[in-house]
Amino acid sequence: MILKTVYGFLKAIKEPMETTLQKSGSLIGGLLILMVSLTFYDVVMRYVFNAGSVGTQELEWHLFAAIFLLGGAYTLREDQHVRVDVFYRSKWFSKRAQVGVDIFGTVFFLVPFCLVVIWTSIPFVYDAYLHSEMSPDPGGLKYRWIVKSMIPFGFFLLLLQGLMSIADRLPVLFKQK
Amino acid sequence: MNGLLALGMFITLVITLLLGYPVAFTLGAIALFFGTPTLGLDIFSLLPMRIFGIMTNFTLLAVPLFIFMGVILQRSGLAERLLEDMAQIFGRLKGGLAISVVLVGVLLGATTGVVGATVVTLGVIALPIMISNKYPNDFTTGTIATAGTLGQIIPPSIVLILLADIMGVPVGKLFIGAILPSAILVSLYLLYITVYAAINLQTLPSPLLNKPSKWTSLAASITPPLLLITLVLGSIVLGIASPTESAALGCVGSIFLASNSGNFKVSSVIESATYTVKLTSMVFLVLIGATAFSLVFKGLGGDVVIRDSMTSFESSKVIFLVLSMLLIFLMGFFLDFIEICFIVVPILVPMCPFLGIDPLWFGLMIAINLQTSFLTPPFGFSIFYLKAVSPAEIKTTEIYKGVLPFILIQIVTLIILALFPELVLWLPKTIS
Repeated sequence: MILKTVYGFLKAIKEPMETTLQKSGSLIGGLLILMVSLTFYDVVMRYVFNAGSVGTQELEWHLFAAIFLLGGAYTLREDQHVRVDVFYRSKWFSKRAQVGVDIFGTVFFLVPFCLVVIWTSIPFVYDAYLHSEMSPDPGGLKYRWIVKSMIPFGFFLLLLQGLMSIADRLPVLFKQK
Repeated sequence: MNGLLALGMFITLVITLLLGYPVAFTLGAIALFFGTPTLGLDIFSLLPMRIFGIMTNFTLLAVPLFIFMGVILQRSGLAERLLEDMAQIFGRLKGGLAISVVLVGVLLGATTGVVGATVVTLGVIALPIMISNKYPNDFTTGTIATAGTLGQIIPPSIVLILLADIMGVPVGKLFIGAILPSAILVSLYLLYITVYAAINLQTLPSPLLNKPSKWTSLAASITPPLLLITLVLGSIVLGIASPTESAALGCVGSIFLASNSGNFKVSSVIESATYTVKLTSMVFLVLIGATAFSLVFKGLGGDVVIRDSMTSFESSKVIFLVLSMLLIFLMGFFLDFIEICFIVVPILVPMCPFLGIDPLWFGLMIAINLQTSFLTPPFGFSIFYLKAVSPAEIKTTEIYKGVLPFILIQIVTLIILALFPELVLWLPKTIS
């Protein structure tokens, strides 16, 4: 019963989430290009014009953090997270066995881990917000909670993508031969 | 008691990983299952701080930059032109095509450092030419798989950046330290190829060689990558720029180089960026998972257990070295460098100060050793990539046979470096 509700919910959010995540790939790619340009700009300013900026350098790692945290869900969607595929991609593992491992892993590994990261990082972000934490360096960026919030946000996306991947794979598992 | 639990945790991890679920989340989950009942859920409140530590690590920022640079260069057709021109000149020599492949592997390794892409590129271009020139299948595939793996040890290399972070040594120093060992490794490869060719190959006119050798053409294709290498490595070696900054220079340089090659569009830059995002997220989520794992592993006193068991060898440096190298080599049969870097190496590193082992030298030993993990059957990255682009008549067993001599050469190099640590340490000392 509960499973059915969850399944129904996943089906409902599937379409909009799919398009969002698909687009997120090139969006985060855009962030990467921005990061590359910014780092290059910073180098040129530093060595040619002798004018390095703490703010720019901080913005670079802010982008870097956003890229790998937000990119996690997209990477999962594209099935690019590294596996130890000694058996997984061998002749002993049927398509169904692979799907079984994926569903098992999502339910027992991915979901709990994401929940714990989200659960522990929300106070971490809230704390930064409450104390209006900012860069300790002069010229550094304010609003540190924004970059910190990438942790729960990224893992929330991962969680959603994980659940959606189950919805995708369940039919394969229960398909009649 | 807890110490035993830590060992159990490690063993559980290894077994669970074999299921094949993505490593990043398996690591995190094992940490949860072992950490929560023993240390309480509270221990994970340290996790966000650790993740934030990765986010603010400016050196690690070089990883996506170097990946991006490599992906751009791979799409620029640089490798194709280099290989054709090299083959024109060296193709007449005995084993000349194999030599060309290794030299191109060196150039690509010093610019891109993305292993999979290099193996595929070399395989697609060089394999058919070599086979049609009567090079034996095993020798050909062994040479290509190995040459494509060189990016892993020749700086700038992603593996070296990650290792530097784990070992706590400056990336620049590790890069500089890798120069001589890489040179030794490549020389030994070339020596083997020359000897092999002298015994087993006869000179054959290649269909490619109907045209006269064109040194000018080679000069034209080799100059841009050499300039790029000088720019990136030069600025690191001379200490002008940090590796991250050099990587940014390299990115812009490679886009410039690629846009001059003709078949490169703006959409290629975006595609390369999206691809880089996937690789970057993959690496750093494994790092996050490994961070959670090590949090619990250390919380249970696992590091103490390892240290105690190692010191029971009368703190023998030699035994520790042999054991750890053997461990990494054996792990390489089943695991990728990423897993070894993030799971096995952090357990070994804390031993260094106790045994008086220089982390810079140890890091390089690990890097050379890790190269074998790309080539060792049954699960070598490079072997898979090469098999994927090989014609069907080439058997996987032939590739295994072909890489074997190269793996032996890597082991020999490892032994040379173990006996003469100065080969690693001299250059970084002299330059800084």
